[in-house]
Amino acid sequence: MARITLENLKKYYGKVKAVDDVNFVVSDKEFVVFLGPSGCGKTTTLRCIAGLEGVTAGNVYFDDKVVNQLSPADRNIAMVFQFYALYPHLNAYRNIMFPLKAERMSASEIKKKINWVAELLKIEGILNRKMSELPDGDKQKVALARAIVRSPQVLLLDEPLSALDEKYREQMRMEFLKIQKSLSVTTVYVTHDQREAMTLADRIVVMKDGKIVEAGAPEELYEKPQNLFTGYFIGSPGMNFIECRLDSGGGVLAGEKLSLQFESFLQKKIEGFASDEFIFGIRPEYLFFRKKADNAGNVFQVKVVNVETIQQMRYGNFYIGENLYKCRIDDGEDISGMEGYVSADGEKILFYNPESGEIL
Amino acid sequence: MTLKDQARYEQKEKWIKYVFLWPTLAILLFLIAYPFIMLIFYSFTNFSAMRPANFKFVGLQNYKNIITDTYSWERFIFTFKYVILAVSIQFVLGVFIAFLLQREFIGREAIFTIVLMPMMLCPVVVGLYWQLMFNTEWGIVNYFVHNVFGFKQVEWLGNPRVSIWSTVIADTWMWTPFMVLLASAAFSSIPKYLYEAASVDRASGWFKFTNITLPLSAPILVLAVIFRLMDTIKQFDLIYTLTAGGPGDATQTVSFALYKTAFQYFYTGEGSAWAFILLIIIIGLSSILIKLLNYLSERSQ
Repeated sequence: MARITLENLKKYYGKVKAVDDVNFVVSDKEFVVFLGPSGCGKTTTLRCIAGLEGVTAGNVYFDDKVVNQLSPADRNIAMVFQFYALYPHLNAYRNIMFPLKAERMSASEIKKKINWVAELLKIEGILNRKMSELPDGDKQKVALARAIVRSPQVLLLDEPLSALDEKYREQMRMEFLKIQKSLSVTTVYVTHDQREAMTLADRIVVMKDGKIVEAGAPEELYEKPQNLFTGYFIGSPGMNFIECRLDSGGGVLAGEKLSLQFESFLQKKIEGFASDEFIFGIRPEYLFFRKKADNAGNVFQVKVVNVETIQQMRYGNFYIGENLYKCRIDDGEDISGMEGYVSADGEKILFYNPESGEIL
Repeated sequence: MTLKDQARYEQKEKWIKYVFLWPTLAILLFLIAYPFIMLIFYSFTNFSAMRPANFKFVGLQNYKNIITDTYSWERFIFTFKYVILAVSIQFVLGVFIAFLLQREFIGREAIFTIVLMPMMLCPVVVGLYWQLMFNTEWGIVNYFVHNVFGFKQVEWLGNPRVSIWSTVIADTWMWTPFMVLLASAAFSSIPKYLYEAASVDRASGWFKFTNITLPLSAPILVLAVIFRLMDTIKQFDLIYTLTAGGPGDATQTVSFALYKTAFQYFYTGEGSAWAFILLIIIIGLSSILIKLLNYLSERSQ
């Protein structure tokens, strides 16, 4: 088992800064998910940890040891790849055996190990099957079995579910979680799917343009993103961000009058911020549609253009100015085209600096 | 379009299909099927192209002549040795060079192009060049053997025991590039992440080569061997210009015997029998290898 430390990690391809000064510590036995859009540097970071890529500058530590110069083979890691990377001419058993065979382990020991991992992943029934005969979900299980069979100190997963059908993904997510907890192996998992990150991670690292935007527990990042990008990227649908201006009467949202109830904690949030302009952020789940303005606070008038369902929740789309936003609809009624009011849960409102994108 | 229109259109379509098909079919029939049938027919006669008017059926006499003649057996044995030596050396060399050319280095493209060049030459020219280079007195090969390394001069083309190697060397020089080309294509079609997975799993370079590279490129490599086998068995032009079948009969392949019988002695009937036997051998060998190919490509899917 190991703690992974990334210290001023940089990886440049010519002028492209794939990883640009990343500092992070993955604690021993922790499940960390690197999340971000494609090209954000998350996979490159993982490959630097694996040793599949050399680093341009900075250090990768396993515990207190710098591993920059070590080959992947010498790092005692295991990796699961997006496209399984199984050897197509070998059956499942032989694929799982591969790393053990490369270690010149004895036949009886190999057998014991494979039986153990097969039982753990419930793949006893497919050990003799050829790769071409297996459905994608089982292929990835075999790949996972191959990765964990020799008890590595670090488990690295590079978008392991993105090639799978939706129905396998759900199942495999649970499998990963179970395995990681039962083996308590330090795990780094790369994905662009925020839902995967939310269900799996002890901590999520959000990356963009080669830099870490924010890192934290999933609930933290969801409830209180420290950064506009995180709020937009995590959650489906993403957070509403509305340009906001303060005047004597209260808040003005993108030119529309908003009667913000300036409860003390809201006041506190924007206290000390020099400008009157900021960004008003609220998750659609905490923005409720009402036909009548039944309560006084934090309400503004909107027209719902249509209704959509995202993960069993109904959302109404509305415009403020040019921009589209979402609010939550609790009853089953079709309110497309209807005028009404949305009220925000005051505790959930966040304010951001429009310049830096950071929370106030 | 109504249903009726469509039916008429389809009818027309059917008709036009044959218009495109027939010319090709006719050419194929004329150039392949007809000569082939005539070949089998002549192989049972004592037909000679020198006196086409009078010939008679001789039954299996031509085949009997070939099979009972020690000269023929020597031709088969030489061809067998030649093919096995040339193709296996080309295969090993080709795979090795392709393997070396897999890694990135400066000038890789240039070297690749140079390596492929011999294949683009005409076999007759290759034969003539090697004949010059193999010259005992002033050939470049013996210059190195004798003047540079100090060994005795080798009679590359004059000694029957050496001349088989001369033919193998010339053919290998010319056709190893073909193996390099196909092996390179096969190697670069193997996804990189398999190697990455293997290096994470602590596999050695040799382990990767035998467990990933070879099995996954096997179908294309076997295909390359099939091409080379078929081509080498019927080898004629290169040997004709290099050794002219000599010294004596030493480097005469089956094709060479065929050529001599049919076009020097003008025993067209017996020549046809030679050709038919050669064809059967090639078809037999190829079908065994194609079975192997199918097995391998199924396995690596």
